[in-house]
Amino acid sequence: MNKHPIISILILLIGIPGLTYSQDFSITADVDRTRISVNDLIVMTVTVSGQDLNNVPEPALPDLNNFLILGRTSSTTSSFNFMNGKISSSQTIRYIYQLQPNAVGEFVIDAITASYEGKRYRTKPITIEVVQGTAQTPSQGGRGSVQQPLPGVDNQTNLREELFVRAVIDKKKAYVGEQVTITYKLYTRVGLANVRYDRMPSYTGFWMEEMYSAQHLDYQEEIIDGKRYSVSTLKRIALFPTVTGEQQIAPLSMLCDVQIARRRSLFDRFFDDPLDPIYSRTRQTRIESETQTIDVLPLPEAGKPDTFKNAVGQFKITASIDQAVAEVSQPLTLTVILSGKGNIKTLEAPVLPTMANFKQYASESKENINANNLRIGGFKTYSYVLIPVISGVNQIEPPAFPYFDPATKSYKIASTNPITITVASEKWDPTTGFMPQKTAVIQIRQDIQYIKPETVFLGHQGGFLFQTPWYLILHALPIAAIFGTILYRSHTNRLQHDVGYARWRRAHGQARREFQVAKKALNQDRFEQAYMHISNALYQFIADKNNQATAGLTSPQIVDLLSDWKIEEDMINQVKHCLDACDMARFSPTLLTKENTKEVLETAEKIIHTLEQKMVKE
Amino acid sequence: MLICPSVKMKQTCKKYIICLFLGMMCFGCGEGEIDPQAVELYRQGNLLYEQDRFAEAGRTYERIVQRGIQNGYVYFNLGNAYFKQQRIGQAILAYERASRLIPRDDDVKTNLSVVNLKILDQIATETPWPGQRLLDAVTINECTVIASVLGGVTVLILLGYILMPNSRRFLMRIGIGCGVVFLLSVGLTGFKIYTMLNHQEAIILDAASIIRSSPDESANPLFTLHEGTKVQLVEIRDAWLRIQLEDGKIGWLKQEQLEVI
Repeated sequence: MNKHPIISILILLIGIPGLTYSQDFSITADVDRTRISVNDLIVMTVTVSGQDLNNVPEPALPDLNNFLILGRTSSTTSSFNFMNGKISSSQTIRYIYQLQPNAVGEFVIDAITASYEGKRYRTKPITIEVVQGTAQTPSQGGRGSVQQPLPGVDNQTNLREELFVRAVIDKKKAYVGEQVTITYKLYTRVGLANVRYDRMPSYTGFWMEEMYSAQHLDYQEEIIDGKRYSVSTLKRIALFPTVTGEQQIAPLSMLCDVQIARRRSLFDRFFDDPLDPIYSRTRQTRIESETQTIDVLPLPEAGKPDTFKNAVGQFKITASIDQAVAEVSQPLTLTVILSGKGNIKTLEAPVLPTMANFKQYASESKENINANNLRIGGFKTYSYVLIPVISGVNQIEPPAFPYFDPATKSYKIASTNPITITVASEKWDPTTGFMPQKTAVIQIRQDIQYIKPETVFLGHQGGFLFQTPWYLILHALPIAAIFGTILYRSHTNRLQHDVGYARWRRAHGQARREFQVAKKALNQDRFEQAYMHISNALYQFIADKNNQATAGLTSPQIVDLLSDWKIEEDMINQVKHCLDACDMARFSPTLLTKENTKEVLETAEKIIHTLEQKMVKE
Repeated sequence: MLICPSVKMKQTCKKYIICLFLGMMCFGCGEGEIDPQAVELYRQGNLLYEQDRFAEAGRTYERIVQRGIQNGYVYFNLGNAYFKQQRIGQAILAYERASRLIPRDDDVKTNLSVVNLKILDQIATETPWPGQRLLDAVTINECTVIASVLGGVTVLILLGYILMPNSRRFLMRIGIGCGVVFLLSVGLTGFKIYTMLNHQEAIILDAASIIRSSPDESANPLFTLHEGTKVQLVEIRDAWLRIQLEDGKIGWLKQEQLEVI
């Protein structure tokens, strides 16, 4: 029972971080309003949030038959948590679309889908009511009364020459993505009141950015064709073409009340006070600017860098790191700033090169846009969180940023110096240290092993050893060895136990040794000695062969023994003669010559040789 | 004057051991007459393979085989060259031949299993008993040498038994042990040789071959086999072969549709 509290604490410890950070994927879509006029724009924001969104593609929009997509931008924010030595990150990507309706009625934007880890997620459909006519919230900027008193206009006078709106564009030709500035100016020679926008053009085919919108009418004097006009700038809008070809900009239409001079009676004239509005009548008038055409050129293909992502303008890139010296597992922030003039809002984030020594997390992007000097510009800041994995000195090559410069009509590449980061090895603290997450090595494909090198043995291996003659012959060896050993063993046994056999075996060898000694004596001219050894050899040989004692052996006995061996008479006589010669020489020194001794020795050798062959045991 | 028998015996032993070593060396040499032209062809084949010219590399390796040299490494590289040309049947044939010559080579095993994944036919096979694996891991020649060496050792012990009456009890024991192992190895070698001679295997080379009920073009088709499948040869009659699958199916097919490993 006392185990349970421990288990529940463990479950709590393990469970809580899991619950807190097992963040789910979500996708939502919002529009800024659901009831608009045909000429209005709506802004739809698709928000995708979850962990590790790097691989999540942009959500697929449904078919928007009743809307035009005028522009698209996205922003990313990330948050990181370091908890229990693990990093968890959550990201939110906002895709912002500008939509313009092209018909009146009630339309449904169908569900937007995104797939994440194999599952599909959907947003709720959005219903938008598009109504005819003026926007419900007409631009406040245009409303204002003429501050400067102007003479009233006569009914008969051509109002067109007295009051008009002009749309001025700064260039007739532009590249896709190049800024075109359109300025609306109100020219008037009559007094106006209650000036307001009737209809704003849709700017189809452009991404628009309003640079200036008049809060009230500030008039300046301008003379055209000798006529003095009061001129007020109404709006200045930066347009970035998104489609090539001739693009028309619909006119801007305005409504205003024009003061009309009455035909006055004398009485009236007496009391006439031009400053008193009570005495003037007004008439509502609609004025429209002329339609403007811009020829949008495609970007030249020649020299287009591979990494080019539709950035048009003049840009600079800078990169910085918050710490130049870091430790393994300590997060660093790499900040990349894109600045310059052009379509900053639509720029895509530069992609960092993959770095083996760092783990990368895209964190957030911020943008700051201003419209100085009639050109849209600003800067966009991208932050990346880098976590060093290995110690050492690392160079990070910040991404080069290619762009098209419409002023020089050429592609340029903005780049910055590499950043050096010195990563020290981690201070090892097993309790709080950052533990790398181990992942299993997964083989994605099976393929054959590579060919063998030339170092392998390349001879013939196919033959069978049991078919090779010499190999079979080799096996006779052990069999022969066994027989040989058995024979040898029985022989040594007999030598040990049968003295007669042993003497018979050794007789020839002993005789030869005697003859050797005799020869030595002969060479030293000791003939008597030589004869003695020869006779010894003969006596010894015959005694050994017959297993008899050497001493006391006499010539007749020898003859008898030899006869037993069935030796021929002739041979026995030779033996006898030889033995006699030896005896004679020992007693008559005249015979002791070298020649005689040598002759006797050779005869004795011959005799022994013959006897050895004859005296064979069964 | 008698020569001490133990000294004499030592000399005999030495002589015998030297003979045995000479025999072993002869065995090594007998396998090792390397044909320089084969080495050159092998080198060329590897160069062609490295340049991804697999068809030419395959032809170059084939020329080594045509010279009468059966070498596991050559067959292995040949199998790779065929595999790269998507010729599954030929690749399996080459790998099977390699695995009979160098049965313990891991690369051959790996590649054979990779190529076997590409075979279309699935045949129920029995899981081999452990001894079968052991038997498959040695070549017939290795079995033969092991049996011979064991026989030699047994004979040496027997000689010791004859010549050294003092340590007969000890020698008797190890001699019997050695002799039993020797007889076992002889039996296994015999079994391997018997299997090789009587259970020849072949690889189907045609993309699809119809197996018929009798050695006759008009006979009833029984089943179809695809390129790369291994079959056992049962009988040969003229241009027809009787084959058996591992699951027991039997039928006849033409000789040119397969090749014996």
